[in-house]
Amino acid sequence: MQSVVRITPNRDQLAHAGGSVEVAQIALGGVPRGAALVLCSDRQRGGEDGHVLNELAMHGYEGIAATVDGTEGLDTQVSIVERMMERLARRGWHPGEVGVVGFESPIRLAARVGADAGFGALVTVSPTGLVEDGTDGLAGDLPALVSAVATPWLIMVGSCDPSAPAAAVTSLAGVLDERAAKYAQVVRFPGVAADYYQRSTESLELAASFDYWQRTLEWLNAQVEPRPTPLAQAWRDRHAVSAAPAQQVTHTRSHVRQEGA
Amino acid sequence: MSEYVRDDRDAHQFKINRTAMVDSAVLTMERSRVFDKSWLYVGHESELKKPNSFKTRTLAGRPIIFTRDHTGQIRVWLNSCPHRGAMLCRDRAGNARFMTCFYHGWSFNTAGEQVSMPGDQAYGENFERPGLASPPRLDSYRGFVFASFDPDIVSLEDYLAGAKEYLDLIADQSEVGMEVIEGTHEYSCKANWKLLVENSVDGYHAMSTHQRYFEMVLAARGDKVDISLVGKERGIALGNGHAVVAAPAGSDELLGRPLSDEGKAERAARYASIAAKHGDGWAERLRGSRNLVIFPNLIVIDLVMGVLIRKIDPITPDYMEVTAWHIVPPEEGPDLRAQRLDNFLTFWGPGGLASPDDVEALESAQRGFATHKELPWSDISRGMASTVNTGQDELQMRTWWRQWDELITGEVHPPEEKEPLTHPWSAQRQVLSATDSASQALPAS
Repeated sequence: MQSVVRITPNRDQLAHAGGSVEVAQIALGGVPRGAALVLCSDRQRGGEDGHVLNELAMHGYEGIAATVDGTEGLDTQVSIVERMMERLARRGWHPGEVGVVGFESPIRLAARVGADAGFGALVTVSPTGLVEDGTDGLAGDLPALVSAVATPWLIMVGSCDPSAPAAAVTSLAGVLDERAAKYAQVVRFPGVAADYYQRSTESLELAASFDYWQRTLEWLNAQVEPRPTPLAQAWRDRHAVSAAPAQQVTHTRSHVRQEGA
Repeated sequence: MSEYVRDDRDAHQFKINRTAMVDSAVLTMERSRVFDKSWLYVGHESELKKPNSFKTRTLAGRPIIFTRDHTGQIRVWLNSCPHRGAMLCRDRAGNARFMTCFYHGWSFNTAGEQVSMPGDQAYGENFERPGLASPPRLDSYRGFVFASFDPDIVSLEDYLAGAKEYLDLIADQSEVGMEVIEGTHEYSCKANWKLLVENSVDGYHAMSTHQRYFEMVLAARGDKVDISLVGKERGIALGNGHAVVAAPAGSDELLGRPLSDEGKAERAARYASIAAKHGDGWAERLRGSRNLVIFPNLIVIDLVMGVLIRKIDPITPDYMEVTAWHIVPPEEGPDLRAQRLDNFLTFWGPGGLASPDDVEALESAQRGFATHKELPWSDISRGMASTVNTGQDELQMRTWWRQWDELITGEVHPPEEKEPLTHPWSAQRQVLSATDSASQALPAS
């Protein structure tokens, strides 16, 4: 007997600059909390994308998911994300109300997506491409790329993931802290590989699989704009809420990093 | 006449009734007449590096959220949901554009606006959606953020009065802006909060209470300690209850373990740069140490080897909580940073060689106040008869207490007549152009 009601996602092909990709989509009734754009890994083929979308739906996020298998070029991958966002926009979502969650997706894709679109939040689970082949340090082009990210960014890696050596992860965290306009957090789970997000009975993997998901949800809830209800929107329109800040401080400019948009 | 303060100018006697240290009715008055009527230190702007960063702490007993909103503006919100009162944010620090009350799920952004409430249709279309409440006044001076619960209080700059230039002496130590570093000290003390205020500007207790610390310094520095500097400090009243003990240049040779030659060279270069920008006199003042109290409960201690920000919060008449931060020039090199961290640990740390001694002294005094009916008065008269006050004297404590008494009882105490300040304490901050040796005083705003 199934103890949890699951929503079966709609599945269809999404055309993009390089061809088409299968997407799974769950739409919710009422006024959902927000939306999620999910980039799944090869490991999640076979219906796991639907599981992720259901887990998000339990917390009020409707979503769309596609598998970016790494064979496409970066521009094609970005095109897929753009087409997915267009799908969400058709349901009235604007980027600030959308969180992007990527599983073992390229860090350069996350950086591109986080730099431009004005998404509410970015979560990258086990990013690929942190290092150049045969090295432990952060790839040379990444500091400039990740510094340009203008979206709050949560990055989680496993300490036993050979594609995320400690030196590179430490460098990445330092660059984001010093140079990125928005807050970023890098989390390294001990004793697990890149697939820690998958269900497991091994104790460290179980702990990581629970913790990564809790962090993901808290990140989305803290950073993604809630969609206003019709009454909330009407109240906002009446009061022009954002127009008149109540208190202002003249502050030292060197301590301020303004939002990009 | 005040029942708490005896200020006898003819007899040169200044006494505090110990009831002020034990009576819960006094603390109740302090909350409404002192803490609700003063500018209170919230934190430093550098603690909030990015949009939507936040810290939670208390301000005059109220839980607050100290944050930057998504546009970069500093904000202070009362950490209580306007719906039913639960604390909106229960984390010590973090980054969140939206905070959701766990009790009923109302959400607010860092600009204080309500953004969602579950099932809002049940409230009807005309329901007034409350935003977060804030202290009525909020302002910042050179990165130091203050708030006040008194909407009619004077401007922060007027309130700070002479304390401003001592904050300038801190802020001028960095070319890029002083920065509070991670690693907050938090400790408690079973004593009245005012005892730590007194202690923080009390030069008289240093040698007797902190003998262990000075023995450590002597052991580390050998015969290179210039003890002729001891006793050369001045106690200075700064107005509005603020006061300072300020020492002349040379404190860097008196306190802390010795600095490497590289560290000394870097420090000398920085002083030269400050002299070029703000004048030799200002740089000389900056080379001295200072223990500053900003009424009522902010302490800034700059002993050259490190700069401490200390906030003192009364909890009950015989119990206080203390929070301390370390503020540094972020551009300094590893040797100077190492010396600062060493001193923050060995001198000011809760497990260091100085703060535990102070805690023991204050707790001992509080236990002694059980005799307050038989021994009702504490004496703070030292130096009252002289026209020049050293740091061993107690003008700075009397200054603070006079402001306290005026707010508590309404009795106005005129300032003590003292001789004008002389060099180096009289040197003013100047703005020197790169090409012209002519100088001008710092504008008031």
